[in-house]
Amino acid sequence: MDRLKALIERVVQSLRAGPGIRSPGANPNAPPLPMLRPCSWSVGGHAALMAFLLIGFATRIQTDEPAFGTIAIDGVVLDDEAVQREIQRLDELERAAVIEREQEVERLLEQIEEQEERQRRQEQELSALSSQAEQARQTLSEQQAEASRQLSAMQQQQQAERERLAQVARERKAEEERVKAAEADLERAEAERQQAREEARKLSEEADEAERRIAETERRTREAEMAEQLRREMAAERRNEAIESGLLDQYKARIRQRIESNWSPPGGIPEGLMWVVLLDILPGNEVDDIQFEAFNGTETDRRYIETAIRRSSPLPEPPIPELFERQMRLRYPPTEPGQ
Amino acid sequence: MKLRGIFFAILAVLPLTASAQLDVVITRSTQRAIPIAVVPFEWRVTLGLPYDFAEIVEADLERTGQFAPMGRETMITRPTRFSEMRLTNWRIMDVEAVLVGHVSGSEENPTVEFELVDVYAGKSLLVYRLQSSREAFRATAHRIADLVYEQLTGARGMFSTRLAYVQVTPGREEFRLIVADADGQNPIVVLRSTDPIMSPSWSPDGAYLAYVSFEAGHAEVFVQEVATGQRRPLSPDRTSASAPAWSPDGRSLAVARNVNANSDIYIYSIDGGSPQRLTRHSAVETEPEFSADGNRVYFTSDRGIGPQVYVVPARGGRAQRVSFTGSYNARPRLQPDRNQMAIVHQQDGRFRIGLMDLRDESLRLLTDGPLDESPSFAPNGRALIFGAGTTAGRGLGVYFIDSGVMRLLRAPEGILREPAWGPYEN
Amino acid sequence: MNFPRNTKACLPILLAFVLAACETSGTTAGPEPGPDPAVSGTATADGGATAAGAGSGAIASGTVINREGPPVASEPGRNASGDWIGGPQGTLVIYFDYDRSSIREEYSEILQAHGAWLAANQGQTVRLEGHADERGTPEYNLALGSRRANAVNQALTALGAAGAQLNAVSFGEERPAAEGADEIAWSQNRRVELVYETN
Repeated sequence: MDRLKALIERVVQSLRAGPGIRSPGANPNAPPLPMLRPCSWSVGGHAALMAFLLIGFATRIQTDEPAFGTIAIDGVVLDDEAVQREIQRLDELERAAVIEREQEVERLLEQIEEQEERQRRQEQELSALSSQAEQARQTLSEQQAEASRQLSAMQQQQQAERERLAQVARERKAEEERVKAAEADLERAEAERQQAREEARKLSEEADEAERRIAETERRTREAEMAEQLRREMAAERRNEAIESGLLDQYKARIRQRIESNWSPPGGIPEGLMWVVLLDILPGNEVDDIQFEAFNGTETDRRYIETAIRRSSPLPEPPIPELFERQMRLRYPPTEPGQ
Repeated sequence: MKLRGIFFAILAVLPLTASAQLDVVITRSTQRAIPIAVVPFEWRVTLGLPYDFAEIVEADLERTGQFAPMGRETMITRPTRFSEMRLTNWRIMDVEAVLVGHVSGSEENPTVEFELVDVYAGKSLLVYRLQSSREAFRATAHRIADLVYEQLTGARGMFSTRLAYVQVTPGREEFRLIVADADGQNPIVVLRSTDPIMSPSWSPDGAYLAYVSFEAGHAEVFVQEVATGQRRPLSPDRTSASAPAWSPDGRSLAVARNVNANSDIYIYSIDGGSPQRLTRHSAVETEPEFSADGNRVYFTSDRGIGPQVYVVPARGGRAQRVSFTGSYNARPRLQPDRNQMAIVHQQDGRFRIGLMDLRDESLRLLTDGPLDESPSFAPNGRALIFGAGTTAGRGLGVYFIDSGVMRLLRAPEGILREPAWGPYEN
Repeated sequence: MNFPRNTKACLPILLAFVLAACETSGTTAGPEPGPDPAVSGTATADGGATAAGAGSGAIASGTVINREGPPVASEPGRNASGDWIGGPQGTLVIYFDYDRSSIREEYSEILQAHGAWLAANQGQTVRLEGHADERGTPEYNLALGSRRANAVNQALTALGAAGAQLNAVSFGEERPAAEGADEIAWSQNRRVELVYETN
């Protein structure tokens, strides 16, 4: 109801304000909405008003849209006096319309109150009816519950009988399964015995095979050891032969000569100089490491001994491979202990 | 010989465990010149080599006969420092040691930096920097040679020392006392005379020369300061004397003094005073030589048959004969740091320089003669200079004991005689 | 060791001696740098002064060893005016065997004549110059020459000469009579020369 009142007030106000209202804050230079030239303002405005009066009141204004701007009417030129009269008449008409509308609102309000009163009465009647229905429902549900109890007892009897029968069936089935399982166990046991016998046979075969292999390996090892022994004996023999035949001495002499030809301390060998050097020899007779085991000279003496050895590397090849040794000892002077 | 005992104790144990080793006994070394390379020093200042330091170093080392420098033209690379060297290349060239260096600074005052590399050990043995000058560049080069020689031989170098000798001009018109570098370069005349000059002898500090001059009509000993030329006769009474020899402390001179037609050894104090008579014999006593400790004086005497070497305590006493091999052993000069003595030995009419061992009296003849005389040792004892009278001509012979190499210094005219090798001067 | 630095005060007086010394014996001392030691230098005042300061008297009176000056006879045994002053006519040089200072028998008559001459001419002095050949050491040869001169000295004394008349000196191998490295030269160099001096 309030909304309706507000609506009506707004319509009234807008009608009082007249045309050409600009929205506040709008650009003053901007053309007013709608875009009409000024000269046609009063003409347009009044024409619109007239149209409104002609058709607007008949249809009642129900929208928020402004009444003008949406209707374009071609203006008719009138004389001023007639206009003034017309305006006056229109003002009177308008006032009468407002009074009429206010009366209309009064009437509407009264209608609403009436309606509310009617509804209250109806509700009271419905409440009385409702308690009667509840009573009837109560009675009905008690009857229904009795019937249901009887049905349930019957159903329980039937269920018990069904369960007893099912039990019998289950027991018979269980007995059958036990028998079946016993038969399966029997079969499985037989299969396992069979497998065990098979495995035992295989193991026995493998053991035989392993024994054969061990025997073979032992035989080969014995043969290899014998061969190695033989080889070593032959090597030792060849070595001994080499020593006896002077081959070793020749080999040592060649090493000695090589070292001696490269040992040239610039002042000759200093009096009383003695040294013992241990050499690591690589395969290929290359000298690897030089270690002084005994030495009584100067740094210069040491340098010329080392240079002699390095210059002599690789050393002469042994006449037979058996004479190769990984280490070699050089010593100076040749004097033997005790001499 | 205690050391020897310990050594043999070690030896006695070692061979017993040596079943898995080859034992080789080395009996001797080989005398050969050590192949070296003296790479020309790079000049960082100027193009070319204003003074060729390396050339002088190489000549010094080469002269000893102990080193065989490889020719510059055969050098594939010319490194200036160890870090630039590929050692395998030098090993292939059979070089054991390489001297490299470079010169920076001005031509007036160059700085020489050098490095000596052991090719087989693969390490730098010597890294040095020396300041030189235009005037002293030869001296700098000799100093480098000294350092290299010492590093490679273990003996101090003698290239920075000086020589004194007598030059006799053709027709014996003039006698000159000359001081020169050990390589014979930079000869300076310190005395010239129409009368004979003999027997120059260096004071131990190298500042003075004693010598014999005949300017007074007979042999007389003078002492002259080398740097200034100032000189005076040793004996105020101007007696006839010869064969001066300095004591190791430089405070006295032993001379052969001729009194009443008899030559004996006397000792003059350098500060004056009357001479002390050391020998008293009617035979000829001359050519004195102090022992290194100054306690004994060796000399030549012909009190036996022919001249032989004797020794007498410096404070006086009984003389003992030292040389016995042959009929002529004279002019003893003791080898520094060794128990050996150089002498002039005559056999079958040949006069040769011999090296006599003072312990076992064994004699090793160094030169061929036939007219060699006046041996004088370099201060390191590894070389001696002598008056060489070879069949090829006369001059100064320099004999390098370790290599057995002899070099001959000859004058453009006349002959050079009676050399004396000066002491270390730095 | 200290040497008299210089004797400036005596210089004017000594200078005459020095110059004389340089002319006569020509001994010059002092460092004299030169690239070639064979190039002959001239005596400088400095070197001369040093020599003079150190012992100029001997140098100044060193006429005894002047080989170019007038005191030496133009012909052995004769003086400048041609008069024979060499004693008995004949030999003035006595030769020796190798490494020997004994006078050979062949010279006994000659030495007798010289001894007699000197005994008869007490004012006459003679210098006996001993020499050796080049073989052996210079110092030992100097002593050898000295001993040879002394041998002649003793012989002449025994033959009548007075000690004051005789002046024995040695030049060792420094002044050979003959150059050469053979026995012919050497035999001429092992000698004593009798040099009669004019007063």
